[in-house]
Amino acid sequence: MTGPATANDREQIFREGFESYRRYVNPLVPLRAQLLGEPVQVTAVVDGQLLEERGLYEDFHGTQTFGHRHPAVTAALQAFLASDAPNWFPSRVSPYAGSLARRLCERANRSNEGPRPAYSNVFFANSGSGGVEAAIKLARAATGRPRILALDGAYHGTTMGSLALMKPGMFKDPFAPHLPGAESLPLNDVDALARAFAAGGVGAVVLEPIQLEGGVRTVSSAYIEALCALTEQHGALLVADEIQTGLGRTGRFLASECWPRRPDVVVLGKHLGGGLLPISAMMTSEALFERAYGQHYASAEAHNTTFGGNALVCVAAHATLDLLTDEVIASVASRGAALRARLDKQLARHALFEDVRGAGLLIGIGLRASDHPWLSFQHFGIDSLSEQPTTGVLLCHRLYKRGFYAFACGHDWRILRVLPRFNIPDAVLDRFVTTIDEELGYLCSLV
Amino acid sequence: MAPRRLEGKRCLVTGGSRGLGRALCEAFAHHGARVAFTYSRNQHDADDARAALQAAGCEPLVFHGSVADSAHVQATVAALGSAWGGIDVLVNNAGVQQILPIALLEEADWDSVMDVNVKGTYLFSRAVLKLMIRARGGHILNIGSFASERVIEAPVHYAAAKSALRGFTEALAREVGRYRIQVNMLSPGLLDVGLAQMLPRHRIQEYLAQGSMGRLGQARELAEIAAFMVSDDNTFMTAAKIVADGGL
Repeated sequence: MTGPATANDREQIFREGFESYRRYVNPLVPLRAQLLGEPVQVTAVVDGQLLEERGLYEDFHGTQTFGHRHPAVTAALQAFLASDAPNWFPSRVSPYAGSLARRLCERANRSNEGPRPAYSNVFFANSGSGGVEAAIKLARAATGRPRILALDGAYHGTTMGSLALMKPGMFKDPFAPHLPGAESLPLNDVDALARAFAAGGVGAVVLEPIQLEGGVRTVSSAYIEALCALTEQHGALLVADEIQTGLGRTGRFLASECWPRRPDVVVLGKHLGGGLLPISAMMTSEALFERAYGQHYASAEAHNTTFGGNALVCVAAHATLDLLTDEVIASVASRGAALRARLDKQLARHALFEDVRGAGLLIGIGLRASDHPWLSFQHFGIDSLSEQPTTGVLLCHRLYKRGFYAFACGHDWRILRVLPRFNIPDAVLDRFVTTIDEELGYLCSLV
Repeated sequence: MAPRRLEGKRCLVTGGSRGLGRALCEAFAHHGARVAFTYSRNQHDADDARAALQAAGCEPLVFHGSVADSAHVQATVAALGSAWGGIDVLVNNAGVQQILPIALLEEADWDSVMDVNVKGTYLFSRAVLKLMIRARGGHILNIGSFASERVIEAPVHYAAAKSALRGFTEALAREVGRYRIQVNMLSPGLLDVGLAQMLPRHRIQEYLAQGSMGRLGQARELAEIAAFMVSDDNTFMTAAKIVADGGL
């Protein structure tokens, strides 16, 4: 028996690390993956795809917007590590964070329709949840009001603050009591929103422009209009959680950039670090920062994080923004529209198909639940999931066999979430359309 | 001190690089046997198993290939014939487990499980018997499963494959008994290696609740039973099926 692997002992890490994950990190995740036939033992990256013993896999999770280990992001990180620049600045006055913040603000203040200045202050955190926490605290500190409203079906993260905004269920229920003042409103119900504001004390409304885990559900234009008006009228912060929708994913730099009023706060995360490093950003205005934290020197860091915005992650984010050109974002819009139209047309013949939804390359494929008992979780011996539909999970199972990492939405297992990388070759997309058509056909043959 | 039941015996274990197969190799070596094993996938596991046997004073012969590949089987048995001059014990242990409900069980899945679990046993047994029959003696032990012995939730192709081994064991024992070759089957319950790592906790708890001994089996316990079954101490048992599942 050998001892634990050391940092660069790649051979031993791949040799024993998967089993060690099961033993020392979480036994159920590899178990679930094994039952679903999910490729686990990926050992290398080839042209942005993952190599497993069964072959190459295209990853549709969405964290790797330019493919796994994009050479430009990798090279930027290697160059930084080869330099003598500090990574962490004890004063917290980091030129890397400063320069990235400026770049993010300048880019976010430019919409597809032209300049729309709104952002002049950024807080860097290490995860999307951390960004949402920062937004909640900003709202409380800036407004002095306790109530934070969210929408039913939301997924804003799993830290205690962000979790309070989550849809009830397995992610949330075990951790009660939750943050006081956090409330959920029904999606797209303008009357309910108006009633919530009428009760007073609203510090912020936090929402995803498109709820990804909630089932790729788009917030309606009418609701957005009402939300913009009511938050402004009542002096509450409008917070757009763009962790999934931002950074070009919907064919705009920010999905919220076309709203009647720019949100007071935008949270970015996921692929901001190029898929290589964790970084999130909470963007707001200098005025709101001043209101929340500007009273004196001590309060300036009332909310902080030790490693947020360290130089290395900022370099990764800079390299990612280098790749995220206007032309790329425009291609996300056009390729996404074309892909959604193709899927809609191709899959329409299947009885288990419901719809295609989303924007840009954030795509949801709606599936109907099968009513055949032998495709139920109960038949599979998992009684605790007997109320859940299996179709999305089964389609994932089939796609794993064919070289695609796809996932069902966390809150709605009827919906397959498909978030291709922005530079995915056309041939791979073609193969995906053909494959999902065949595999959905196969599932239909079982019912 | 336990008796060294297999002193000088020439033992081949298929699928011997991990799990129960590795425990069999180690137990046989402990009992004084010369050991060879095959593996199909993970060379690192094979290297680990080899190193463990070497540390125990046994220099194993290791062969890479699928038991369902007749060329690999022929080459392995030929190599052992040359190296050892014969084979006294064959344990058909190699097998694949795949948890799939019937709705999702495709023809390829069925074929794969049958190939490794059933065809592989046939191929290795047939190849080894040529030597054993000429030598007028030997033991073949087929590793079954409680999945074919008890009414439990099990993948149907896996249960069918293990059930097929039961018929194979009985018929082969009948055919080669005249040469003093004993053919038996050992069907383990849930062990601390292998399938138990693929099952959710509630399924394991169900097993523990149903079992008379209230615990999982240990691979080394099964290996000790196997060591007796393939040893000269086993003078009369053939065509037998031993179920060691903690009393389900």
